[in-house]
Amino acid sequence: MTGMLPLWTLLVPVATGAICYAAKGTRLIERVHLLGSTVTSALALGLVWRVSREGTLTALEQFFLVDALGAVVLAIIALVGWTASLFSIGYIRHELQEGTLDARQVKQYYFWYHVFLATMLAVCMVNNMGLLWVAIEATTIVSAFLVALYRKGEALEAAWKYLILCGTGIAIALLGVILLYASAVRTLGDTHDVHELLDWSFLNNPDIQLQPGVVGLAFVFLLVGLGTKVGFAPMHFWLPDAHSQAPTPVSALLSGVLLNCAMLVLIRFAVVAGHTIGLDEIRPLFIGAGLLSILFAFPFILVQQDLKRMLAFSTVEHMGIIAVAVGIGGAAGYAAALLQMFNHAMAKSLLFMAAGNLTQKYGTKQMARVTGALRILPFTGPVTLVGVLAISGLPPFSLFTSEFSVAAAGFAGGRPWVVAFMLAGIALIFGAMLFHASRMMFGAAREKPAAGELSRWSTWPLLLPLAFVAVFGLYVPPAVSGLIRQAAAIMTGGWAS
Amino acid sequence: MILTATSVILVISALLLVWVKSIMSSIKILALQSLFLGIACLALGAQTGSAELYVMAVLTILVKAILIPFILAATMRKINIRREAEKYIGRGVSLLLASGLVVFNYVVTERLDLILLVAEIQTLPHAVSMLLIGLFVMVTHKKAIMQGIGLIVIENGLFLLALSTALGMPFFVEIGIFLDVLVSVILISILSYRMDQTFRSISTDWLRKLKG
Repeated sequence: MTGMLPLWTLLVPVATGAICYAAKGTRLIERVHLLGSTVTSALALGLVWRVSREGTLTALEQFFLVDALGAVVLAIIALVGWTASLFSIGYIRHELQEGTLDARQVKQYYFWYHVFLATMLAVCMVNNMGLLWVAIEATTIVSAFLVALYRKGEALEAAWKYLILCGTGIAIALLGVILLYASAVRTLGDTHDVHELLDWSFLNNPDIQLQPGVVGLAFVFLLVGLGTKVGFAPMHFWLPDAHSQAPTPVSALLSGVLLNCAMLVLIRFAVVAGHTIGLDEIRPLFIGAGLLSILFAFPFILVQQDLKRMLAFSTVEHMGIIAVAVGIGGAAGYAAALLQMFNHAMAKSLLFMAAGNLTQKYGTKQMARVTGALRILPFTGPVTLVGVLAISGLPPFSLFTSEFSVAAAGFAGGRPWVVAFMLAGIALIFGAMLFHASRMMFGAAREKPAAGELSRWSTWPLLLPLAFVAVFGLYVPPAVSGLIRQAAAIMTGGWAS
Repeated sequence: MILTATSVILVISALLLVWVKSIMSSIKILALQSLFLGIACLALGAQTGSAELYVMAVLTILVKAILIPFILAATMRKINIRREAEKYIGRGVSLLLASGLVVFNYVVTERLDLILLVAEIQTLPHAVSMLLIGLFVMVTHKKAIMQGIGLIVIENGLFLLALSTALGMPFFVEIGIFLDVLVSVILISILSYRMDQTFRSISTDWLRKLKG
């Protein structure tokens, strides 16, 4: 049973989705949804726990492989996935009441929600790097269904842009995968079984030397292709559209989880390519993409009028910070990147869900029409404020700790200018975000809407990410930092099995 | 040898796609292109005696040459729009530009070969040509469904490259890619249909609201 844990972790969400689709009656669907997502998250966390204690875990003749690197993202999926699934209940009920969604769309929502979770879980668990590509492409397609859930022109436009841009990007990444595989077949095909030549467990080995020219070319394609999916500027244009048009719980998943999955895939390919062409060749590419994303995000955040789009651009910024941390490298840089991934996922999912409450309450995504939120939403208001402060990197919250570690790793790694640029970007964005947030939070509350939260379902699930945001700023449990150290060791190229 | 010949046919068919006017004939050309790919895969299977290649050949013909064109054609019938593909630039210029891309790409991959010492991959310029033509179709066409067709042209080019460099990707990966392509075509069809319902058109000119 325990050996089959990865398989169960995939089957449970798929089965839950199917039952939700077949079931009749909203209450029943909600119960199945809750039970399913709870079991999924428990299984995923069980996997993480086992990996952190026993090291890399394989199942089904190495079809599945979960190492510490995958486990970090797995933990993010489990936590954000569960929170968003609780939040979904309140959110979807409200949309059903308002008549924005009908019963059939609700069914579709819950079905695709769980299939989406399954595809992302697969990204963290498959061993074969070709299947890694298949899984990441599957996340695009499945989440495009969710982005297009609302039958509105804007939602259609967002889904279309998302599908076409990411589809093209991922196709370019496939070219990279093919070149990598071709090089492996050419160099090692005579002595090894071709079926294992694309396995992470095989390729992640410093002794393996492929053709440097081909691998270098392959990695450029992979960086551009997967970078589109991660949301690096200037390939990020799908991102604000998809994030703002998707149902809010899905926005939280897209921003907090999906992009991290894409980043995980990119990191895996970077490690593999690094064995042949040297990580030093690759790092500047990450730093460049990261800094560009941070600097690109600022003007869009400054002049933004739409709340969810502002959060989406802040995601572009944070993916940039993670990329810079990866580019700085070294055990410290990698650990900082992973910590930043986790902290950003918590804070951003918190903010998206809070933003969902604000938009449902005020009936608009325009920030100018949201005023006096602190008084009108006694729970969501303060939570949003805390979230904005945390996401801008203010102490004592978690993102301060991880961004500080990124900066420290950068100085230690002899890249002061990179850190200076990054911090300048972060500071500018801090100002812009705080400007928008203060206008929404303070300011005179109008007559409408009346004060009061929407429902229990839309408030207390936010406490989970909030706890992580608050606690991880002061104290990271040794179990977590141990796992992150293991994952960073994998990225530095050491075998951490 | 088979693959080099096929790859030339594929590039020509991709160029033809740039030339034709009606979406229905584009779909037919796409089906024919996939059929050629499937036959090449079949021939390669006969040459090497690999069972996996036979399965892939059958799948290519079933999914890419029959099922996907069928789905696209059914969507077109359902939408029942003016069947002509609308473009931002004329046919002549399009064909000229697309051919220019092919030539440009020959020059570039030629130089890459020198650096990479992988001159054996003769299909590389053709595969990359198809990628570029696919992208070209996507950016120059207004009708949503043509962008989907461009995506499949890219996919065919990549399949050709995988065949010629490594006799195809590992089996499970190839199956996964087929599934992904199939589901994305279904999604493209659904979205085109909804666009038609919402805007009374599947011209992507209507998708202009989200900015900044």
